[in-house]
Amino acid sequence: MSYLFLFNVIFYLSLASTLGAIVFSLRKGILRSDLKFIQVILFISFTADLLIGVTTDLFHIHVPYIGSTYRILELIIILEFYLNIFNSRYNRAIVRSLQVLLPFLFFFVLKFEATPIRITNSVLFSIYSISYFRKMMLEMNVPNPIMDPLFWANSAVLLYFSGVLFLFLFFEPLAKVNEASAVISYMFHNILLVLKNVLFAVGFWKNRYVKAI
Amino acid sequence: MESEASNILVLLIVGTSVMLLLAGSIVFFVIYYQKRMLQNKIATQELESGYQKQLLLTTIDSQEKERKRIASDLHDGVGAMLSAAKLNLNMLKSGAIPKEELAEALGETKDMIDETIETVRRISKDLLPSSLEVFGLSKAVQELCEKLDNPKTHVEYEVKGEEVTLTRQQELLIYRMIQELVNNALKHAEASVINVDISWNDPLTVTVQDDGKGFNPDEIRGDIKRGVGLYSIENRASLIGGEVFFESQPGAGATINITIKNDHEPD
Repeated sequence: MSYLFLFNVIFYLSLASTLGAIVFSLRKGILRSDLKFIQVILFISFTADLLIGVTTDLFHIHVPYIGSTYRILELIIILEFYLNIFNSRYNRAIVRSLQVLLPFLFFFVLKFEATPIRITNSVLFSIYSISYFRKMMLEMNVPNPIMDPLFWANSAVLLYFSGVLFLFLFFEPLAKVNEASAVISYMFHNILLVLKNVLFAVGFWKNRYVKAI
Repeated sequence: MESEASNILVLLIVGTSVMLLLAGSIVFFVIYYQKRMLQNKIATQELESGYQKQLLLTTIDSQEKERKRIASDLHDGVGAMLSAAKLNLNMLKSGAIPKEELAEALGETKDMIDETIETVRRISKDLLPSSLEVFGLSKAVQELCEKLDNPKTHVEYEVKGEEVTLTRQQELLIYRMIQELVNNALKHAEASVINVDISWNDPLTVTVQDDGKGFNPDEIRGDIKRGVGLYSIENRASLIGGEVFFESQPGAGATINITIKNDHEPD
């Protein structure tokens, strides 16, 4: 079994996990407003990955900028998710500035280069998710974290974005010297993507459970 | 080329593992911390509800005791005097008393009615000292100390500073705290001297000191039944933004300080 085959298996597994998480988010009931941002980013992620999969595997063509565009949308939407959680004037100013400034930088200065935006997202969302846990511990208004949908969503964000930070940092240098190692390392990214989607699905599940109570 | 790739790979693996380990630790720590805090919260709530229940029971009990005491005062004092006075009046009306004893019988009846009036006045004063309403806290506490002073236990009162105006509720709560502390010293401490000091400076400070057998405040607090008295004083003080400090140890008397900021409005 070649590593490329294994890479494809894990890639489609991550695609299936994204679809699974979307299905969980669409179950009967009212989805809380903050989780709707996660639902939207999952839709975009699924569409982008599906597009990459179809164009690469069926038509053997590479459509440029899909990954970079997805990362910019991810930046804007997840920042909106955190604005919903930390709705202070101070955070609003930070989020709005980042939502304007960073895409501008990526479009016009970095010319759609994927690595800087991936690293920025990783650092930014790791900090935001840790801030959420800090807020949770200070305010003590979540009696049982396991029952809290936001706890699962934040765990997904923290584990995924902190886990992929070093992958994104070293992916390009590794690809330059050894392509096979780079592909294998990206497989690990897809495994973390599966983990993220599973945790998001648990969050959506808990959202329903909380409503049912 | 190969060694460069393996170096980068090692860095990547180590970095990712460390990051994942850190992230996982944060998630588990949050779960552990929240659960522990929840347990602590539940334990505190249980303790508080136990204390509140005990406080309620003690309040009901003390109300019942007070009612019994008033009923007994009314029955044995006022009731008995009025019955005797009525009997005398009936005898006077029916002419059962010889003429030569008439003046003496009338005098006796008048004395009985006077004594009844005095008893009613005393009961009323015990319930709410009129001096508190008319002359204020300082005078009422002075009267209380004079009333409770006896050959076995001297109750001394000292006042410092110029009396400030307090609300009626504040005055009553401070008066009740002093009353309870002096009564405790008389009943439980077997003290020979009790000093009551009020310092009207800001913060207003009330000190009740005795040379009795003392107690261990921490031990008393640990026992819900015995600690209710202390909690009740703390509770009253907190209603007017005050703080209570208990200083005592077995065999060394007790000093209880209550400090209240003058600008505090009662809750």
